[in-house]
Amino acid sequence: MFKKETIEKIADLARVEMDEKTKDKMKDDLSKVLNYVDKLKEVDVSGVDFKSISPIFNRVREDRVEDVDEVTKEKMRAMGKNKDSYFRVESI
Amino acid sequence: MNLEKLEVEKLGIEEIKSGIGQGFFSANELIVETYKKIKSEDRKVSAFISLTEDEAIRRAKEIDKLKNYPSMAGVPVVVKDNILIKDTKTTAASRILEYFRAPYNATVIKKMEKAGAIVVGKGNMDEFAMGGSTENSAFFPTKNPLDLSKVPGGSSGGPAAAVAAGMVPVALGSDTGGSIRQPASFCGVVGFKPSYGRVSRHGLMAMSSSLDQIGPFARSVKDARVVFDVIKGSDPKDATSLEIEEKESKKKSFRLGIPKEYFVEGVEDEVVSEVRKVIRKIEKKGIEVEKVSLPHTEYALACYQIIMSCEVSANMARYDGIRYGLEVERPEAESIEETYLKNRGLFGDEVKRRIILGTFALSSGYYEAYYMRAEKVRELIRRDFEEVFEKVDAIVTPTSPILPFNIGEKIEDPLAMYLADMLTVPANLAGLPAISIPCKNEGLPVGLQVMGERFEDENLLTIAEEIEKII
Repeated sequence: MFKKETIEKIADLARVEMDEKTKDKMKDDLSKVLNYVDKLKEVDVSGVDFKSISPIFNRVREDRVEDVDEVTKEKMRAMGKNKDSYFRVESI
Repeated sequence: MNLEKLEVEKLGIEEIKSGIGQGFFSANELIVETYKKIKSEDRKVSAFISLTEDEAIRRAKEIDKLKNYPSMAGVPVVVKDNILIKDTKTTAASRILEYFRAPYNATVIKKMEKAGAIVVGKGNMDEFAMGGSTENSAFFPTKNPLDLSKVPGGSSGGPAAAVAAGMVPVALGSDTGGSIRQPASFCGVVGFKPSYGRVSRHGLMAMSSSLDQIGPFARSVKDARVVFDVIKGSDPKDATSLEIEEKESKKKSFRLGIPKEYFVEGVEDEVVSEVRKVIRKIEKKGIEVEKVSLPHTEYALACYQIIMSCEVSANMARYDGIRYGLEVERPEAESIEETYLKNRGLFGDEVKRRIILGTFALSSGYYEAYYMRAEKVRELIRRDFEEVFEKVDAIVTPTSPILPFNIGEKIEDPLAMYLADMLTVPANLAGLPAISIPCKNEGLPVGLQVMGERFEDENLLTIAEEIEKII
């Protein structure tokens, strides 16, 4: 079950601001959800190898340089300073 | 049908095509009438976040100049607000994107426009597609057009309600755990989630990347198929989209499986009895129906909660309020960390809940117990389906375990809201195509879900058309 401090710590890691009331409700709501998902522990997963979970399809393509697409060109036009296909910024 | 009288709520894709083709009305007239209908109906329903009237009229005039009409010429479409349309406000119903204008078109939009469809507006939704009632929209809730005190379902509640209210014949939504099928069920329309990999998600804001899929709403399976035929196919810009060799089966008969695990406690009596009625009608028509078992069904929702939240926490990381055009007055912040905290504080409670749960489940020490275990259970769920599809061509179940509920009824109880997805999430976890068809004409609607084998979307639609005739 969640403690309020755990919620606070995760919220900080995930960079999400919450007021005290929201944190309290979050603690109760997520404790219920966590309690519910705990039923996954009943399942016998010994026959499943994580590495062979299927189906996975690989899609390969030739590696070739394509023209800078329209979106990039638009972005370049919108930015005043640029050279070739690079933005120009102040040196740091 | 009398096409000379322009009644937009009665027009399907076929009628629009012949109406325009035979000169009964022009695409422009249809769009003008559509906006009249939208403006009168949407005051009650609130299905739209924004309208794209000027652009739609411009497009309609272009269509009217064509000599050959493509498959969806002049068809008005509503698009869920998490699908990008160039230079158009695309908010995902979130404060953090309130002023965002998309810099490019989603692949499905390009394809729809090429087919002649006309986008008339962006549909309301739960924020970032997280929710099952459209009450999580940061702007306003949408109401169920069949009963304004009820929710339209979610997360694609706006598009579903717009079709149900007769404002448009078809719409595009997205479905991660039932977000097309459940609102279709609640609003009494058809909603189709194609197989994972059949439709490009390029330009769909990612929520849960291993589950998300774009699909159509319509008033008939036939129209849903027309939209699917337009949007399907692989796309170099979405590496998960695949080119599938279509092998529409020529066989005349099919077998349906009824899984006992979908008629359990938690599924309302009225839903069970309506679906059973349809199954009896199907049997009377001589279609073979057999009992099947999908033993891991009871774990599907828990499995979904973990996998989805983990993927959400990763996908939402990009919204920092600095990129994607947040133009609100920024709260004063002392540091970059504080800026992020305050900007991301703009997320609604449901988005925050899922980010927190996902971040927790992926954190060191918990990853194996939650995420990894859930992925393994997902594999078992997939295997269940594989076995059943050795025996039957499609599986028939209820779409939603419950009837449309009152606005405000479940919003304070997230777990109760999540349970409404229990019968739709398995298809997402296994990547299967699944469709909801309305199976009742009076009172609150009940949806019948038909699930097919992965990539066999065309066959599933054929079976769904047969079932639709029987209902």
